[in-house]
Amino acid sequence: MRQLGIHTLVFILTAVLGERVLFAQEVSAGSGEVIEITSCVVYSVKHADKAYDCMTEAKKALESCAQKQVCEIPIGFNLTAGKDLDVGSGFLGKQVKITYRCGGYQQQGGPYQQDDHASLVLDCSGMWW
Amino acid sequence: MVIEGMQFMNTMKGALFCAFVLASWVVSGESWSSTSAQAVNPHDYPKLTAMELGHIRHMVKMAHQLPGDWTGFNSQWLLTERTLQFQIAFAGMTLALVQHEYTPAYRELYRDAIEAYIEKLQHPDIWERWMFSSRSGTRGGILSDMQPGWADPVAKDNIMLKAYLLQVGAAHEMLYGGNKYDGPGAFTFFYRGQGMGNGLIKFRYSLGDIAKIIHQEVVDSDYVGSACEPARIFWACQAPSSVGFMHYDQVHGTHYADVLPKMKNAWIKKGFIDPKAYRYSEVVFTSWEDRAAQQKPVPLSPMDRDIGGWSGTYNHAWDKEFVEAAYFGEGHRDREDALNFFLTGEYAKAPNAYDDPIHAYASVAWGLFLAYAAEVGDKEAVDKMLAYAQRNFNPVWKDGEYYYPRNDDYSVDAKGNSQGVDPWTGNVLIPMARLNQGGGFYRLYNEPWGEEQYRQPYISNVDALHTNVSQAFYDKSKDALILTLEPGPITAQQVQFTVRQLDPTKTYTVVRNSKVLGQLNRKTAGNDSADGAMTWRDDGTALITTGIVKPQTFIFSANPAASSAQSR
Repeated sequence: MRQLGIHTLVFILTAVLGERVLFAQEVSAGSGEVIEITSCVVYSVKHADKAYDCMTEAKKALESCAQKQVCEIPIGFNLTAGKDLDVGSGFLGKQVKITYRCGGYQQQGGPYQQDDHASLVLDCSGMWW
Repeated sequence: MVIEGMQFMNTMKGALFCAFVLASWVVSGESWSSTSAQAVNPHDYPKLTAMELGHIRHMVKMAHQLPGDWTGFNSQWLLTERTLQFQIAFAGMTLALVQHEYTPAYRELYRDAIEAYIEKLQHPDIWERWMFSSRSGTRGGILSDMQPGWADPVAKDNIMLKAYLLQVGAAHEMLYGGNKYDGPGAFTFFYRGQGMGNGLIKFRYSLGDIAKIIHQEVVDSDYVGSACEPARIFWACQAPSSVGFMHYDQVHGTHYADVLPKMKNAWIKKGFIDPKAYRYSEVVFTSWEDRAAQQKPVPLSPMDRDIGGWSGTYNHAWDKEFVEAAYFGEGHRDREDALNFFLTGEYAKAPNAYDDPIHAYASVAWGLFLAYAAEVGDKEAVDKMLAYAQRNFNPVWKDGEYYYPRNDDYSVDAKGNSQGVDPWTGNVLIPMARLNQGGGFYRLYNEPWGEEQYRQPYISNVDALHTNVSQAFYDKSKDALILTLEPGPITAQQVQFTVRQLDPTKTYTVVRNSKVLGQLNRKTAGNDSADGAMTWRDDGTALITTGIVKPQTFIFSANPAASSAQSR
């Protein structure tokens, strides 16, 4: 009887602690990942041929965040080397889309208008679901 | 014994004589000083009434409600973007007016509340619905379908938010100096939506960014203005940014306000304003793509009734003569018609308009006309409308606050009385009118403060729960600070406050309730009376302790230089 009691106690503790360990792993899998930008594009809304690959600029902006899990990437003319991709198209004429990875999770910011006063907030903190 | 008696008598005479001389010196010194201070008559300076203090306390309390707590604000005038921003900004500007007109030497209460209102203008509840408005659509015949829209609430159009950021922010800069709103991100809008939207995004603007963008939009529209909703330019919506330009220019040395006469001339030239009949088109529709193209006005209407007060109250600051004339109209007929409309209950019977299911808009129009009447100095109209408000709008005193609570009953009795009140009117527009003695906004924009005012003596560290400051004015010509402190909503026997920026090279005679309390300067360091203690502190400020069971009027009056030198 005494051995049965000990076995029961060990079983219960294993089940409870095991569940806690599993939960903790799930949380860390969803958080703590570093942002990895996988694409950045600025494109004209009306003219499909006018697009700019802004990976270099976006990654440079990401560097300033120094491995943080949340990073603000300005999405103005900094992404197109200060140039207007579609002159005369106005504020609504150009959009920015950035895709990024948090570990195994693919994320997307935008499309939003290219805007010198705007920053996309890329988030791998685990708070993005 | 006789000799001893005579010696005693001589000694006594000598003592009495000395005492007399000493007393004469003291009395003459004090009477001289008190004459100097008592030459200042507190009745010559602006003073807030109990009712006005109650209005201010209510607006200050609402400013400091926790973010997202809109208790008492909410209206049933349901514009797409709602209307809280208007109420917030008008409250901020009412406090700015009071600061400028009544209590220039008591700043913390007003400054903190104005800052809190500016903070509220950045709350998602205020700006997020722009994403609906910016999609536009078929209403008004502008488009054949909705558009994708945009989230940034400042970048393009939406003058009914950014005008107020400019107006209240620039007023803050004018009143208090500094550059609180000049930096990037002084105004920040963070969209955190999980549903609609393409991820987290932040928008950051400085006051200068906002002024520049609005000015550019006015120019790009061929001087018609910055749009409210896309492709809709309202005359009323231009007024807050127009006067905002004035304060911004005064502080920064820019010339944005040069655009104002050009804008008015454009409206006249295009037929959107008839300057002879004082009629205008409340809104001009434009093309979706280009605000300067396909401009189509709605039919002309009087400039004072409806929402005429929205623009008139502020435009008085830069176009005084015309705005006053437009208020009265030809032969004063427009003013008579409007007053009749608002005093007979007709306003509450008129058909609902503008996204208004319950006539709340009618109450707003009522309040806007009252504010306009007050600004142009039509005391007769103001008195009549305030009497109507007292009779019908069920004012409330609560915790020292005085206001007219929301009432959705817009029925009209046989005598023309209606009890309906929108919160914008009950919290802000009626107080704004009561506190404006005529031309208050004109002076706010044409008599700006600068370094001279920032350096003048003022009081701080007032416990606003125990104390109402009904008077706080520094008279430069008499080098005197005049204060009246009154009991606040929470009873206290005694309170303290700090006087700042007194001149350390001078001696001040301090009079309280017409009696000399003493002399105050850096050397003597004040007195330690149980009631009325004054301490000149090492940091150059003076700490004053006083009873507050009843009103206390203080005068801090600088003694002339010779006396000050003697004291030192």
